[in-house]
Amino acid sequence: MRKQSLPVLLFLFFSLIGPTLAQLDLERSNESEHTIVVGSKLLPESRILAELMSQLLEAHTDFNVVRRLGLGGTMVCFQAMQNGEIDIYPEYTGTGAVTILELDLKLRDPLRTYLVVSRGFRKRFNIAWLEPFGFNNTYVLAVHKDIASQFGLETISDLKEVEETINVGVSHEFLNRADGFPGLQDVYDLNFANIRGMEHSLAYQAVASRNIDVLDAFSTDGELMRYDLTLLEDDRLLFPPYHGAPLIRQEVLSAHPQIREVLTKLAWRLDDETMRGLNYRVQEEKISIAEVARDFLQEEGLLGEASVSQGAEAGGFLSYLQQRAGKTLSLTVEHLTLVGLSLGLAILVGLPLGIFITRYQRFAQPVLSLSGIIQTIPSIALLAFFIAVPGLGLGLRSAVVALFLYALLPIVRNTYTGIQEVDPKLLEAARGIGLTERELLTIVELPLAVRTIMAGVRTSAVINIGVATLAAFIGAGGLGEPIVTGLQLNDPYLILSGAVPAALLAVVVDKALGLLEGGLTPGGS
Amino acid sequence: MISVQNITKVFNSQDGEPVKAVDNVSFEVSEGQTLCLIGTSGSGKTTCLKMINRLVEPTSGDIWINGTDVIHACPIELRRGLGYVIQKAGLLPHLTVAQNVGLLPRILHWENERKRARVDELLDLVSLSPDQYRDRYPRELSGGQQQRVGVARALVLDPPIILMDEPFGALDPITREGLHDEFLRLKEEVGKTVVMVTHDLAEAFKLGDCIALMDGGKLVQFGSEDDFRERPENDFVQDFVRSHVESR
Repeated sequence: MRKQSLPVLLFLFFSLIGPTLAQLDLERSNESEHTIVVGSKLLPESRILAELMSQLLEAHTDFNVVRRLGLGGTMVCFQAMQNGEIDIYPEYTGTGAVTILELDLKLRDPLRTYLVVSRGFRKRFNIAWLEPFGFNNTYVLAVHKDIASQFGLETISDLKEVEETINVGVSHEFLNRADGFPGLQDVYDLNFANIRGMEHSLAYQAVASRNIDVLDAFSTDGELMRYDLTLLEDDRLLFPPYHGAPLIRQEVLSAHPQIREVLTKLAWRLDDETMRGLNYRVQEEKISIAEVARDFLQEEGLLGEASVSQGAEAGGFLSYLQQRAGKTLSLTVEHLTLVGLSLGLAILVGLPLGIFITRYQRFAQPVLSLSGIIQTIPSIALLAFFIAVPGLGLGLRSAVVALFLYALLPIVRNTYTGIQEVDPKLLEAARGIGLTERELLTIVELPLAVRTIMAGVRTSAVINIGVATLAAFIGAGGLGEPIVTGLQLNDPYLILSGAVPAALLAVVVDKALGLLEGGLTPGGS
Repeated sequence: MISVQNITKVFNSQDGEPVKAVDNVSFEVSEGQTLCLIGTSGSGKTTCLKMINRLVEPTSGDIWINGTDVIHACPIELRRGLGYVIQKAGLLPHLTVAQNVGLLPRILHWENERKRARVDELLDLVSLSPDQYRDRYPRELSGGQQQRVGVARALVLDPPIILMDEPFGALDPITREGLHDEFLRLKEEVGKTVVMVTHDLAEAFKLGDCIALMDGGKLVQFGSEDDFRERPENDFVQDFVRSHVESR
């Protein structure tokens, strides 16, 4: 449950605050111009589409295809594309119109929508829409099969007959959106006698147990396959079109026109039902995205001869690691940057703060409690919190701030404790021979507390190396990137290729700080 | 000359009751003399000493050193003009012998040459061979040696007055005897005014030119060894002298 809801929550979060996002700190590929970077949003459907495109490109071109899957929400992907950090990603026409172009038009007609976004993107962003995949991932109304056959329900218009008796359960969002329930009233003149808002994930079970008869859903939801539901046709085109299609930077397309040819192989191959099937295999049957994509392409005969999968199964873990050595190194550098910056800040703030509360004892408990409370906030929540803060946004800065807060407590607490533990007799002797308060601190207290303080720094460093793997969720990169992606794709090698170096890094950094501690610790103790 | 006039120190005890640790005490110490403050623990003798270098601020009363009002002086300046030696020396464990003795010269930015010469000179004075002891850490020294370093540190800025808080308290009798003789020799050599807290009357008789006996925060008798032996102020003094001297 937890593992499932996390990406969903994050996705929602990103979508909501998307427009305020600052920049994304993607690592720039330093490979040649023969590299094509394919991105996707966090939600599985977007990943599947990106994987399909990646495998097609690998099968039919010589490009080195780099996958940057699971990049948060719409604005993250789009920003990354504008920055030239990804070349291709799948988008929806409705999202392009409403979220990116911010058009207010009441777009109903699928073709017109596609043309509007194509023109808008080309003019404003120099980004091209390729031919759609075929499916339209928009709202649908689904009815229990028995009810549908009993009353002969095929279209939404047919619901008029049963509006007095039928039980409707819809998501709260649908209940309030102009193109949701209010639209049903306007366009179809439907006035249900029994309608209630409910949590979407519960609606499926409610319809299965016949507590409700009708629910709203997205047309490519994998879950629709699990229950015996009839989807009603939107015969008066109330719901806005959300056709999926590849977005590509015009610059890349002009340089490599063959990409259009390759990706067009997918055009119109994925109708609602097919897409629903792929989502079902990934979400419900827990099959890896790479495998689902490969199976589909093979069935459709799109892979041709050279359809050997690149990936985990090609060799043992060691050779896999070897292949990824360059990538792992650059991720490690990113990781160290995150940890180094946040730890540096934590020392700059934590050390003076720890000293301050030894001088003003009444602040000691409040400060220690507060930094203790910060530590109890789940890391992912803390990371997510800061992307909403203006000026921080998605990526490095938010991650550094969150990690900084985590690192604070051990440093403040150990500075405080280390200084408190200095023998008061010693302090009195030093004060008695005429040391100033400042000299007491620098000559007596800090040197004697250095071992305890460094223990705090080491704890913080190790915590941060661990927590920094979660920074990948907010696009800050680092060794968490293969871990997060690997979890989503159910790819143990990918997970390990991030987890093992992260663990080693923790050991090495701890040892290095241990040596530094030895150097800083004065003699005689 | 140190002149202590009517000093009183009131502490708040743990249950919030004010307690007079020092109650209206007055005495004087002339230049070059050694005063021993003696009494049982809790008699207020250490508090008295600490008021002279302002580690404890008097609640009322006045202290003058050579005509300077101590209560209104800058405490840092004041303390640098008063050597301070405490029980177990109070050496900084992370600094070597030379660094401990040379601490104030370092803070005052003396040139290295001058600092080193002064440290060596003082180590010689307290009978520790500089070459042998300069680079040792306090934990590598015996208690007596640590105490010598403590004295050297107190003398480094050549202050006219030295305050000593049970300097020989934690030492075994033989070491203590040795240091007593050393103290008298040193005093001859450098001629300082000394105020020393002790709980050992024999030590006070041996080292002090005058003795102040305190009890319950009050000064009971101030005088020479002869005064204490021949002219005890009251029964308490008489018992105190008898029990201390005869038990040895």
